[in-house]
Amino acid sequence: MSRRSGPEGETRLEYLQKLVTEYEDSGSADYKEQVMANLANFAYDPSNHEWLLQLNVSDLFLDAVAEEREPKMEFAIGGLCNLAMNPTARASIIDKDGVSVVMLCLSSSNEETVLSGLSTLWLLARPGLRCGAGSCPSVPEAAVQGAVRLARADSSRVRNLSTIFLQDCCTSEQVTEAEKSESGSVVGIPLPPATP
Amino acid sequence: QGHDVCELSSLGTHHPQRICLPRQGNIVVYTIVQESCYLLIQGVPALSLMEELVALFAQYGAVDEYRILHEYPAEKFTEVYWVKLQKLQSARIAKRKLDGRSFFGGVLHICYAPEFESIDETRDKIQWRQRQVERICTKQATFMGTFKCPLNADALSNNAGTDDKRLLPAVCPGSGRSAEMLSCGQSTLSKWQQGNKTHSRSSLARFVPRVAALQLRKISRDNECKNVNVFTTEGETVMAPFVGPELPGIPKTVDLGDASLNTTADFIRTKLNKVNGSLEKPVLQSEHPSAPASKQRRRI
Repeated sequence: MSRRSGPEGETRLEYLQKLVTEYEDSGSADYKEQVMANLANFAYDPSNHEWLLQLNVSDLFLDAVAEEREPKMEFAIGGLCNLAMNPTARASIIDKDGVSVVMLCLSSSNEETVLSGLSTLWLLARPGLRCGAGSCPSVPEAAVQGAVRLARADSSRVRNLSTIFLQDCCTSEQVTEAEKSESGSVVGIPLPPATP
Repeated sequence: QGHDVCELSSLGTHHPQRICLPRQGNIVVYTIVQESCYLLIQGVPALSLMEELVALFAQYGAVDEYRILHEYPAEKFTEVYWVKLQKLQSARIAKRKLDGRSFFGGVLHICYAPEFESIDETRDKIQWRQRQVERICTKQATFMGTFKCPLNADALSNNAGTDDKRLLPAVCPGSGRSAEMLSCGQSTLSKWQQGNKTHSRSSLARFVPRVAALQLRKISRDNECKNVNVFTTEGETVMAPFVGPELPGIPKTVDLGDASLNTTADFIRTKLNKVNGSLEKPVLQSEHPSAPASKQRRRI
């Protein structure tokens, strides 16, 4: 596979390296988006993971997510979701504080971004999944609250994935806590304080 | 609650025609989230071709369920079919092979329809994919003798010698590739590995570390929090960063389309605010003088 050649007789690693370089050097936002989508789709195939990790593409994805600019954010979180299937990649994403970056996706108005974000969080925070040397990170409170809100979304896909995330990655205490703080800010007329 | 197939009947009303992004020339990044063993097939000529269509899909794997979606908006003289294949893998191949293919004078247009999955199906799907990737990676790592993180090239060079001896017997004897590797002997393997390693090192990442960018962002976020804090009333704690969609709130001013109605509404609103304020504060202060009035609550 490492010897499999691309269009001009180059190896896959060289080809991916070229893509990364093009991404960094290009000034055009459109072109950057295209390259980002390309890289994210390359991440679907696990045989590319080793090279993508060597090229620090997980960093590139994390940066693009943190920029919060659509549609690049959607492509980047898609790439992260693909890459996070790999235990080695998962460990390196967690090391780089990936959880707090991926959390940003939950506030997105783009459904695909939210979906990929939820499943990436699931992969990163799922207890019992092999995460390399370190242990799985705990889920921040804000992410639990976000997922609780998303579990009431109109779209059945968002609802399903956020429910799965809450069930698998959050303790029941975390969920009830988040629900409580949710109901504390219910819109409408606040109830008068209880008289003792 | 699981949203199962039974939802189909109400589909026409709350499921608008799916916008198929690839068709509009947009770029799409495929992840497991988009894929599904549920497929929607549009553009099937309305010639009661159920049997033929199912036979076509059965070439790629067992078909679990199928039906016509009468409620689904379709082009003239065509029907939309709903097919559930047993395996995701077969759905993937079927989509790749059949999308855009002509079928009894129509052109098939196939999309994944993950919105029909139940919670458990979605979970199984992601889990299946994750295990599959893990399996492939383990196999690959065994083959290359790199069990450790490839980013860590130094640790790798220390371990490589001992690792591949331990890992070699674990290679699955079933695959032709590993059999070939077993026969080629350890000396060639390590030679090949060394070649591989030097190659990867020479072209190791030139991507700029993002630590600096992250720190900058953190600083700016902290500053923001501080600024907010200046304007909040005393005793109020700093709000945690808000993640997720915002619930619809009540807009501050609602235009009722009539001047007198508006003034009445304003009057009621200010009165309510006043009543709320006067109720809350004295009680809290008199009963719990030490407790801060920090209950976070959205203003109306």
